[in-house]
Amino acid sequence: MTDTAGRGAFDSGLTTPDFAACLSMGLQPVALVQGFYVGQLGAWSGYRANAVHTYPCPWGWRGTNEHPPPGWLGTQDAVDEAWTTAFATAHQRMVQEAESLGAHGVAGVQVEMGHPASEQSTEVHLYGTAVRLAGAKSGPLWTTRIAGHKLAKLVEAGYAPVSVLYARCTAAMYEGCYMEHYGSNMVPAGTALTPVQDVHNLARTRALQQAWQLAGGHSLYDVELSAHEAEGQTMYVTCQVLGSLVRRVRPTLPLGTPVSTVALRD
Amino acid sequence: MTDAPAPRSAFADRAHQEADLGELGRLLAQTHGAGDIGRGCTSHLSLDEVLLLHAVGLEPASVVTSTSAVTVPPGVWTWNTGQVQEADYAFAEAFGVTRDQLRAQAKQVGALGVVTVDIELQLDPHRFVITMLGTAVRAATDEHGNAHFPVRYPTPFLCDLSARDFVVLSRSGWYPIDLVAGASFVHAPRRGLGAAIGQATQNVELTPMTETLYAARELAMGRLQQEIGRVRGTGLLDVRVVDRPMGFAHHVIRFTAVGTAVKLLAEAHVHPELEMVVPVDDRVVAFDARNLD
Repeated sequence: MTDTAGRGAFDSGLTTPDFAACLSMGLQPVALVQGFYVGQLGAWSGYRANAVHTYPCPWGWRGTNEHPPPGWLGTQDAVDEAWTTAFATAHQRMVQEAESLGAHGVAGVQVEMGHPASEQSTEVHLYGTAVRLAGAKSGPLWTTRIAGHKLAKLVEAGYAPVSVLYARCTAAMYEGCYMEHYGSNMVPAGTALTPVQDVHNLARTRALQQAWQLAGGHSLYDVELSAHEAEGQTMYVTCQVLGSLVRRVRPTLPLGTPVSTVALRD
Repeated sequence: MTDAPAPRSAFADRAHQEADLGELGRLLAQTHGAGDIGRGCTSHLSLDEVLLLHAVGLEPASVVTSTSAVTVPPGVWTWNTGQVQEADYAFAEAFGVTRDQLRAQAKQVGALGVVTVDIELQLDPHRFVITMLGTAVRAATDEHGNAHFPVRYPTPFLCDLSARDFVVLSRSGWYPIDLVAGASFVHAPRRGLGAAIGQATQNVELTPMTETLYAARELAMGRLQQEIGRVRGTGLLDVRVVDRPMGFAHHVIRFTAVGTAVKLLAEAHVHPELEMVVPVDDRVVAFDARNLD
């Protein structure tokens, strides 16, 4: 082992098997690098929605004091932008820290996101192990959530890591008088509830579209997609996507047939 | 539903080889900063699952998702006897529409099928919402552009099996055909007032509830069998059964069964040989996004 950055001993978040595999691949750990971002969600950002569709009254009423206004469907772009900016900034800070150490990549990236103080705050914390790759050409630094043997399998399958990616969409739907209509026992069973379908589909589709745009033509693997629904008079569906971007670097035969095993563990 | 070729993997003869980590590291170094020569895709599979599917000749194409929400007149949950036919119909309608939309999306991206479909059932008094999300997969090609997945499906298959299960299944000669479901909602009759009072101090079986459970099961499993027959499957795997009273109407028993219809396409079932191993890979720490709003 050589002292790659004049820092003395290296520090790393790699597990022991991953450390051993990385060394075998010529990946030398340099340091545990981190990227933080703590922010605030702007006042009212949770109440602003960009409407993309309206639902007229099924009985033909226009909004009056006695009758609810028409329903609508929209996205809460300000909230989503706050979170995606928080992630992108923290990621960029982690990358800069690794670059300053002369690393070629960051392996074993872990992501923590949450509200540190209140629901109006955002905190993103990324950390991983910066590694130098013996004999690597110059190029943009890569980040990946995997390390060790799984990274080796990825390369064996013909892929190389690009970066960790995060995208999200919060869709909102105000039901207006639609739900009164559907809950009135006048509508037969099995009738499509278009506004509810729309808010679910919009959140998931937009989040995936955003991820696809951020992917820039690379493949997005290992996606963790979570959708959370909060219902009141306005229904909110938040869909988040976290995944690993990879690029294919060589055409290759599929991997050999896996061997069935019985794993012996503690 | 499927062509019936000999579904022997094109790679079955390829011996398992230990990877040379040093060589892979040199490959990674050589390609540092190189461009992407592949077709982009999205996948909600873990990397382990991607690699497993790659080994049987499949690769991810796109994440596909679909939601269907349908009405249930709230009045159907009041005390009554017999089946809640409106709820039975609403469930079948919502499940069928969601499944068809998911298949249409898979077809749109040129996929062979959709694997590891997550199915979320949200059954409320006035509506049923069913969401499905999975990864559409296509045949992986070699450097000559040849695909090696041995089965050609006329329409994309859907399955909720994990990638590991898919690999074990296909190596045994079996293949998934479609997602199927059977559901029934049945009112449990009340005991008579005299019986309720007379049995108040006794440990007794609540016969009407037990009988309703059996009735609900018979109906739901019968529908499941019809569905398996409709898609020309020979069996069902990984069935998930929920049989309990509805939370908002305790006198109504819900019995839902969802699983993947499968079919043997090889000449005979093949039993895999098992080796014992000591794993040295560690689990990637998972991201928990559920705490975010």
